[in-house]
Amino acid sequence: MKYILRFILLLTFMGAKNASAQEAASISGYVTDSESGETLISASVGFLELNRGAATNSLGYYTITNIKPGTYTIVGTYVGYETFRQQITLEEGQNIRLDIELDPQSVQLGEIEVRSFREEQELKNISISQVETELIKELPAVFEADVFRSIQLLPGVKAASDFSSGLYIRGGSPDQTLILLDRTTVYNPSHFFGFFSTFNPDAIKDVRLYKGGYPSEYGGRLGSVLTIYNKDGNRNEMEGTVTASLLASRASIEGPYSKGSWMIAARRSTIEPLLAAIRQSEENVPSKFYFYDINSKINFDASDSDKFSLAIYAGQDRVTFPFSEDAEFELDYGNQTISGNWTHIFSEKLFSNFVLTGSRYFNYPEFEIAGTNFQRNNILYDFSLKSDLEYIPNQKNLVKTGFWAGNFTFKLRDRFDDSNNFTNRIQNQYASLYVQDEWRPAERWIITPGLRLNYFSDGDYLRLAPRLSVEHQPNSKVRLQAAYGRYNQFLTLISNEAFSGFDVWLTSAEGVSPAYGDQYIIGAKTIPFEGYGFDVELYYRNMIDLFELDPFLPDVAGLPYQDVFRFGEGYAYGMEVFFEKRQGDFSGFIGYTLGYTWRKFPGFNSPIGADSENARFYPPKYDRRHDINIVANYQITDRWKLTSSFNFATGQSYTKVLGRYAQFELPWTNDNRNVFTVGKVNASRLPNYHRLDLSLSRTGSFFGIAESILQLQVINVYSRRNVWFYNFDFSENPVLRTEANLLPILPSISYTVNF
Amino acid sequence: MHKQLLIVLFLTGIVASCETYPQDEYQEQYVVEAYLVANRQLPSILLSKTVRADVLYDFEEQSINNASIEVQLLESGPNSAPEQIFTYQNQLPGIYIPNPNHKVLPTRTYQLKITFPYSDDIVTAYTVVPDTFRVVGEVQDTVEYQSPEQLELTLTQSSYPGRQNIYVFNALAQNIIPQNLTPFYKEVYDESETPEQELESFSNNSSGIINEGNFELNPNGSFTFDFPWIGIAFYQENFIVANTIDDNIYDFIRSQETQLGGSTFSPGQIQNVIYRMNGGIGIFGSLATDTVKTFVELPVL
Repeated sequence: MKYILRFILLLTFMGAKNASAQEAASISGYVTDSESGETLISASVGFLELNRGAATNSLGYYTITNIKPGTYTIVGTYVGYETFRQQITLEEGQNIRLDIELDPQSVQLGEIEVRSFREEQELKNISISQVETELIKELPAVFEADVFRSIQLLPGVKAASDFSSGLYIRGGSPDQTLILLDRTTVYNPSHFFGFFSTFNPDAIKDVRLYKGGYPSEYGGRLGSVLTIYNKDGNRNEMEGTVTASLLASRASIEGPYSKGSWMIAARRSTIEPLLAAIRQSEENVPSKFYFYDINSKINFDASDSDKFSLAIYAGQDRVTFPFSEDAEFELDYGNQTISGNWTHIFSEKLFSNFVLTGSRYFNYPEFEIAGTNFQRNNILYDFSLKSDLEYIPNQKNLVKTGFWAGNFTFKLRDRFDDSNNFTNRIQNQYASLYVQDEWRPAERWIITPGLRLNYFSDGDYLRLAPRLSVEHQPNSKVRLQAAYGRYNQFLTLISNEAFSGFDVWLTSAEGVSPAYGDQYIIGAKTIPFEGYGFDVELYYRNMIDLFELDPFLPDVAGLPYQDVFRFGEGYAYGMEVFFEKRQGDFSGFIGYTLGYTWRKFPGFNSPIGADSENARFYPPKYDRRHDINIVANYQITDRWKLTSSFNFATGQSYTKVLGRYAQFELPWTNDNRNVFTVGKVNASRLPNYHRLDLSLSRTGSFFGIAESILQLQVINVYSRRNVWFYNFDFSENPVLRTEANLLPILPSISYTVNF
Repeated sequence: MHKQLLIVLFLTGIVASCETYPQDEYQEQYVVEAYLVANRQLPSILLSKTVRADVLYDFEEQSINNASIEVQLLESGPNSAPEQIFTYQNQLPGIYIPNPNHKVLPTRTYQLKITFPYSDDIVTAYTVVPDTFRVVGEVQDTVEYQSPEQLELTLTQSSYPGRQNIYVFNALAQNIIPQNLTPFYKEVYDESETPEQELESFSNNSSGIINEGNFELNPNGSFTFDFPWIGIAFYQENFIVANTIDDNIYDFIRSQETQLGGSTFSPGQIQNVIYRMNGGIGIFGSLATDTVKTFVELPVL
């Protein structure tokens, strides 16, 4: 705590010293889309005559301080928008509020797409990647355009399988990524049991992934942060879009009202009629299956300095599957979030944002087999208050500070045969406090130290997490970066990569220490030629005190909370290379990842006959040594566009079975117990994975009243039968090994009308 | 700059090409199987060896004969001196029977020692036998299948050092004909490609592992438990067996059941079973058990 106070005092002193040195002017305001009024994140604003500028923050707000009085040309830029220019005269000590509206560019074939410099800088910060929402919609996707599937194409991000939208980032499991929708934590962002994510691409404005080394304004996860912002809604006119596709259909509408804007987007599965038809001739078809999600947001612009918004998300999946005459499986799971946001501008130097968040995740699986039921009732509530302040004391410092405090309630009740066999209710208070300074000591240097203090009430855990990033720009085309950070995690997820419908979150507690880890990253971002980007990053991270449900516990009834876990450690390292072509009819990127990830848990993966606590590090299944993604966009004509993605990856790790035997005389069964002996866990590799997906879209007119887009897609064009895992059939002697395959060739079609 | 980048890429290539985690070679292991039951005679012991996973498995071919096997009753728990030693003789291929016989004592520790005539290998293991218990009170003679009145069992306290009791229940059907199968099992039987094997399997139907923590504790220290209907595969007469198991069996079962999936493991991630044995693998375990009989009636429609 002492260190934080010292740090704050130091920053305040530095700010005061610089501010008192001159009677300069300043300028600040929002940058918005002139057609929709949507705020633009990371837009660039600067003065032509001065080498001074700023990027808008996550609320679209910018501030430039300490400007020498005079007449200048202010310039605002953002990718896909016309450049804004305006001459402006600044008097001594004057603070000007200038809201900038940028006009969207009309897309011309062959036109060079120039990203704004500041936006470029923001996106080129260490380990940050942005996925443009248009790309999400254009990429070939299995049934539904999907945010997470698009993110999986980025270097450093891996998919567990074709069936999973889970994000495995830099060797971390999905629970090591904090997912924030409009600043609210989402705990199980999946539909269709993990097949795709819950985020409706029509509702989304901005998707940003901090793959590692993330700044101190975020916390709570060992690995990464994914921030997703929903659209505010069109502030000028009403507009909407409707998309019909094979699995689900979606619609969104947005518009203005006297004091702001609103937006509502909904998506629902449309597969029920197909299932009903299949049920006529086939058995083992779900009798009920649907999912939906709704996103809505309303903005209230109370004054120039105060803006309020309320965002609501609700999503749910339900399935009922009678798989035998006297057996049925039901699952009902989903998320709901709400966030109320207040943005207040205290002055041109002090910007604030306060948000009240609520998040609920529920998960109710139930089996009823031969008159015996198995039920799980898992609910999680997370209510919090979050505050972020941005203070710009001078042109060299941008100080960010804030807190996040909340109440986390976790309820889990397992019932077997109408009796409770495990109940647990944990209520925790958590709080965190952070401060960071983006300090530019010299023209080509940016140093960002930060501290985050985390508190978790169950177990009274107080953890300090220092962060530091340094950037040096030797010339205009090269940026060298390094970052270090410590990260803490108080939660763990019980999940299975094959099926995320049963996901349960558990927390650290007395006797269950929170996990922590350090991350070290170095990288270089370069512009080898105009319109191209070439980036390299190397990372190393460790994971200490990992806690996860002991996988060998068939029944946890009667066990103390700390005894249901196993505690381990891990580390990961690798290199990511990203080459991007951003201009012309033909654009796209190539991402390459070299990755290693290792885990160790006591007693696990030890040689036969070794001491029971002996253990060896092993790679999790999702570890892939090499991973290459190639994404290409080709604008064939005004109307036709071809998008393709190709992925080649080293086969995932699996355990090769070496020997076998059987046990014959267990007293409570007539079946023989067939047992494998293995060597090292996951020391073998499945065959290499590769897949090509294509999407062809045609823009047209919907009866002359609206724009339409017809999208034809083929997943796995050459129908490669990639292997997911091996099955073993003991009814054959010798035991028969068979392949469980991933997706075959899958055609898909969707039709969108934008009005 | 380009030079440095090339060096980094070159070094990375070297690192990437190094295999740091090579696959192990197959190693043959001795395999033991024995279950000591409290208050019953010492069991037979099966001794064999593993086989490569991709070749034909046959117990007789893998059996080990002429080994020297003894089971020692230890004086006061693990690592104490033997109080009594019971030798075994090779009766059939891989099957050894005790000579002379002895009734297994609850709560006592037994140690297995196997030596081999043509090698210095030694296999050892010990088991702490769970305390006995009884099913007490009135057990329904007849229950109607899936009626609200489930078969209720009240068990006296057993004990096991260092942890709660772990149970496995099983129903041994007495009239094993397809017509007697309850609906869920009947459908599995009807759809099976090997119905006779299914019938044989269902005739001894297990609950899986159940912790004592699931049971309702009565004021007199006994536990009451409703036998779940899923455990009943056949109508008519069934023996209901309650077993409480030692650490060796518990570790073996809970880890063996995750070898082919389930739990939180990724598919294809297989780990060795947890063994409590030195020099070999398998089970040298113990349990205490009690049995009651009931008649399961067809539900009244």
